[in-house]
Amino acid sequence: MAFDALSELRAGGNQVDLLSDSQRAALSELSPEEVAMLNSVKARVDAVSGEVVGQEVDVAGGNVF
Amino acid sequence: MAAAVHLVDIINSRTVPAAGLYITLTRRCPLGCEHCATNSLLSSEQHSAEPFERFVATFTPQEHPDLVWFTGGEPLLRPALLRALAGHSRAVGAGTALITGGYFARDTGKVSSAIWAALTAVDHVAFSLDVFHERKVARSAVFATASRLLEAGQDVSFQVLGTGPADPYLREVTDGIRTTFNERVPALVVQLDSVGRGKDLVALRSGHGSRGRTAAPCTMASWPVIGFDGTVAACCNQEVVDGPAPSHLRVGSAVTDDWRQVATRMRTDAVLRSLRVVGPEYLTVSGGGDLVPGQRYCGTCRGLTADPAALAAAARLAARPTFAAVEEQVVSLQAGAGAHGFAARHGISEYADLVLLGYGKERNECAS
Repeated sequence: MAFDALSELRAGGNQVDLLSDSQRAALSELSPEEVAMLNSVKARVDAVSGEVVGQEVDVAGGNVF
Repeated sequence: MAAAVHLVDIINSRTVPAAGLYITLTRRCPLGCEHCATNSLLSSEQHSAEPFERFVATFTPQEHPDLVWFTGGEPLLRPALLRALAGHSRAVGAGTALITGGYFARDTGKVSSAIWAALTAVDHVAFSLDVFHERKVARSAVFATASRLLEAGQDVSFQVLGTGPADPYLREVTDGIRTTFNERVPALVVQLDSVGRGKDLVALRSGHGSRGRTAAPCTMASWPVIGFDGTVAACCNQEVVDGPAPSHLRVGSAVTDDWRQVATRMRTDAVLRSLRVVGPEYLTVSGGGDLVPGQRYCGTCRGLTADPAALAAAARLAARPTFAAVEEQVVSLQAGAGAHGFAARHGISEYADLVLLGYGKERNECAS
């Protein structure tokens, strides 16, 4: 069965149906690895705490920025 | 007249490549706070103003950062320079902001005319507030300055630092901010980390991330940072800014380059693009390497210079014809989380909603 990138993105919680036709067309060409990337990013963005995300950044000036 | 620049506006553009620019005017600071991430003292390094002046002079109405953020050390130790740089930035259409520890108000609570001119030369003033700063500058003095700025039409915020969600200081100080400013001045609440003099105060937090198995975008490698000596780095990691920056994170110099060149490199460099999509740990593993036990996310990134396989993986990733579509979606996902989402991920999530205080309100409603 051919890889259905849009379905996999949709299953990962990405709201692909709200995108433009050209954006959906571009995303339909994604590889399984690229879909996994976006689904991972979606999951991390949806997480609510730094502990869950586990990505400490040692920023200059004490600024989160 | 200052343009309206709320903390939400700043945060919302934080992950957009080259939307903003940090300028670290000096490492010096007279306060000597115990936790200082930049290890600042009054005797710390401070370089010629010329590279900063030269670089900002390359801004044009067509090519400029959306926001210029002045930091340090204490940027208000160079009020005339700050005022000049902010003036040109504003003239070409850039928003401006600065962060200060408020040293100027520590003795009498009064603000000199030179400092006031610098404070009002920017659109947004952020005050550092935590137990360490409060040992040096009275909260009342900081609040009084903030109130005066609000009355003058400036946007103001607080960057509050605590030890964690259970820190009683955070509850007490944020209640004070909310009450004093009538729920209209935002605050970004973050956790004390083991950086600079903070290394003596708190242990390194352990990571619980994917460790290279899934994509973990770097959200900090979007805005370039002009360091103390004019070196332009791709991110605000303290060790990178302290220098020398690893070659893959060095995007130029304020001595020789202009904003257009720096912005172009930030947006088009394959390694930076890949870091912003998958992060350094993913690149290390994709290159066939192993993560170093105990090495954190930023440490892994700094080490990429010595990992040609990881850098090659980044180049291959960015060369894919579909990569631009992936990038666009990553930026969209991050933007979709909004300022609250950013604050929850990078600050103390229990206080993330404080970044929204005052957003959408008229400025004159904020003055107490």
